[in-house]
Amino acid sequence: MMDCTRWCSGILWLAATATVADAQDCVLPGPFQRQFQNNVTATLSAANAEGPCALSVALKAGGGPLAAGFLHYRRSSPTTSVRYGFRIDSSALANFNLTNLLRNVQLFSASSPVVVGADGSLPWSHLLLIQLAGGNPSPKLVLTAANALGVGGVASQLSIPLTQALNTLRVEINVGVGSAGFVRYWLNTSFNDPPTGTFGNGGLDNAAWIGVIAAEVGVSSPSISFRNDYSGSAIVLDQIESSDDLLLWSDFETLQ
Amino acid sequence: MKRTARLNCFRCLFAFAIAVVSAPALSQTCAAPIEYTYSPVSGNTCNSTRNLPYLANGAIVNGGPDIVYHGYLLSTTSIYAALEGVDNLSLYVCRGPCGTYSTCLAVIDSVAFAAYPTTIYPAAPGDYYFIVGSASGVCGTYTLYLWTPSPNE
Repeated sequence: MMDCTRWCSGILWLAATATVADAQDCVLPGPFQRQFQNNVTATLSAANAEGPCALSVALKAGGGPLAAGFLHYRRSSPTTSVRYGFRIDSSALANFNLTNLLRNVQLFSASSPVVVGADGSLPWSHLLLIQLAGGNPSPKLVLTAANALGVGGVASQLSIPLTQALNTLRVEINVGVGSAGFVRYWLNTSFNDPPTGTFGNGGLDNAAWIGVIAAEVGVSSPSISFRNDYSGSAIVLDQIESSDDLLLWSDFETLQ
Repeated sequence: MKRTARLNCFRCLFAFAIAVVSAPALSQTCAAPIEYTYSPVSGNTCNSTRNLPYLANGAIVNGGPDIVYHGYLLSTTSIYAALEGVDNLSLYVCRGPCGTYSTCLAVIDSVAFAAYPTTIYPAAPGDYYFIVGSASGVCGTYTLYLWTPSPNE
């Protein structure tokens, strides 16, 4: 008899996610098959029916720090190399180029199954976390990566200035000892092009974080200044992609 | 794993000795700041008063009660800071002298249930004051994490 482990799991996986996918006239992107909304006005839509979803999220006034709208997924086991990409449309954030870093909101995180904390440091569980922050004259994407060699022993940070309101960011996360751990990123270029930069040229030494177990893309953890100034202004994330193809998972039962 | 020095490298025992000699146990103002000797520290600004309503020559308005920490940076380096606490607290990272006319390098607002490390660089040698207050006027509990790289890093 044909071993149907993969096929069956794929069919059941589709069945498990069909309810979510049917909730909008578009296809949820890649592995991001779950969604979370709290105190936001969020829409999932596509220019063409059954096209890949664009996620639009605007915070509700008075929504507080837990206001969030994002897509997410969780793997059954951590992966040590993975790519993600998405396009960010921040054009609705009026005068965002006249503000400062206090106006910030989280757009993405790829998380470890463990929390690592060097002595006295902020316990840190994200292999990569990306925030959109204001700035004058350039708003910024702030990347914070797990880095055992960084100041504080848990993470380090870099800022990418943005000169336009529509930007595509692609990242590649590699987990390993010493120089085997690094993050590469591409701003407004393809994965086929040379990376715009490498985070941790000397190595992030991020092996203690094991690998990426889960990821989310959307809007969350808005700062008070962002909430005060930009509630009601939508951030749109589309062209969401990932190398993490989970369609053929054999352990579909972890999709709870 | 390579270990990094924390802000107890800030003038180290000398600063600590000053604190022991001149500062009462609950002092937390510009005149008698708490020496930041080990990361992290925790506190509650509701137990303090609004001693610093203005910073950066009035450019920054602190609306809440504040607690002042002091450290001394021996050489130009980056500072890594994270403020974890109730929503809307603010961490002001300022150069000496402490007070209304401090030059502030960074302001970090806490977001409840989420804490992010922030790298402040480059920071020149000298006295630094880490003031936990609130732009919006709230008060509450917090944990403040501060580090500088070790000299050989």
